[in-house]
Amino acid sequence: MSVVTGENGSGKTTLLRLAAGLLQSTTGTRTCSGTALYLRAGGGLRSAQTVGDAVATTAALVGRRGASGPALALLGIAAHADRRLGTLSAGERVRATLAVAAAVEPTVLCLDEPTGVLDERGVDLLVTVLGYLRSAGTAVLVATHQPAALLPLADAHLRLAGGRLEVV
Amino acid sequence: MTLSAQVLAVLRREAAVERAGRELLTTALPLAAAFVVLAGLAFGPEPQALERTAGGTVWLAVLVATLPVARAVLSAELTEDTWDVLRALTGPGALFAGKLLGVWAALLTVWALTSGLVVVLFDVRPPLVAVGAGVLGTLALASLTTAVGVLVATGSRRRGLLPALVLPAGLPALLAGAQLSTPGVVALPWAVLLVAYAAVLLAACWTVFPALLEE
Repeated sequence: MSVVTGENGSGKTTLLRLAAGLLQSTTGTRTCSGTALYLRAGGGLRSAQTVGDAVATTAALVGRRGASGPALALLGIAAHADRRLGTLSAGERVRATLAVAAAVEPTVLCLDEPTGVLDERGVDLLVTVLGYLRSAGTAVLVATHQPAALLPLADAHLRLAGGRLEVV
Repeated sequence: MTLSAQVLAVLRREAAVERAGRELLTTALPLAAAFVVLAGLAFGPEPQALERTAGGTVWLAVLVATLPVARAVLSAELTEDTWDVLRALTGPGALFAGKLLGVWAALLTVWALTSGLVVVLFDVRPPLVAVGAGVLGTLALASLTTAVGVLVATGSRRRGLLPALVLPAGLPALLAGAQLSTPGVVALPWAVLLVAYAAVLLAACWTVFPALLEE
């Protein structure tokens, strides 16, 4: 797991989207042997759907519909399964996004600014989920402005500055 | 997962989103129905005029409905930040086929509704071949809407291009569909045109779709 920090506009999102294969690089090559999932905190799910339905239909895209229930429980939002995403608070919505990551268990997870709107318990759950994914073999790349809670879990702390990526 | 299983998963997700939001039900269908009612008032009440314009009215209503359908099935994925997830978890082939089937089902529903309305309001009996034209014509338009919809939706400056691209490229399907839905028209040349155009359009859109996904 690597934590990426850097000022606004330094290129964190671009780096994550390149790693996820959503952007084509002008030079160099990218190799990924499995699923690379880019998730922006709070995004990734249609707001008209209920939490349970949205996570289940997304996980079903990789044949893991059955993993959605345990993922919701892991994120502490199983009780909100029947609520529409559009009615959730920003923090709860981030948890729903993280439930997608937990259900899908991608080979590479690129998570964009997940800590911004999370409360203390939300950050604890984020650490739990990232630890779970790490143990499941998922390579995690997290871009954040608040790295303190994630650094104890991280293998590397990378900083983007002036267009260059350096190991802190 | 096999391609067919992924296509089915994308399609089920489309159905779940529509069930939850009812966006097509509340936008495309009322818009198309209103178009048919207004056309009936504009072209009527002479029975001959209504018979001549019935087929064209149905296909113009379907064309009008492609915009809200494209918004519901494609543009909304970008505004809600879900497009990246779909791209990551499904292959281009499954994504195209799943989205295409979603758009096709929506346009076919619009076609069935407007055809029914035309039969009632215009008091015409379309020929049997109109059903085949409905199936193939909406497939051609769905292929085009899926491919162009992705192209347009992935660039905020291109959003106004959807009607400008779908109308000329869909014209052969619209013309053939309208002719095949009009009583007394010789069907064979139009049927050949529609079959060939739908096949070519489907193959072309399938081929270019992976390139359209690239940013």
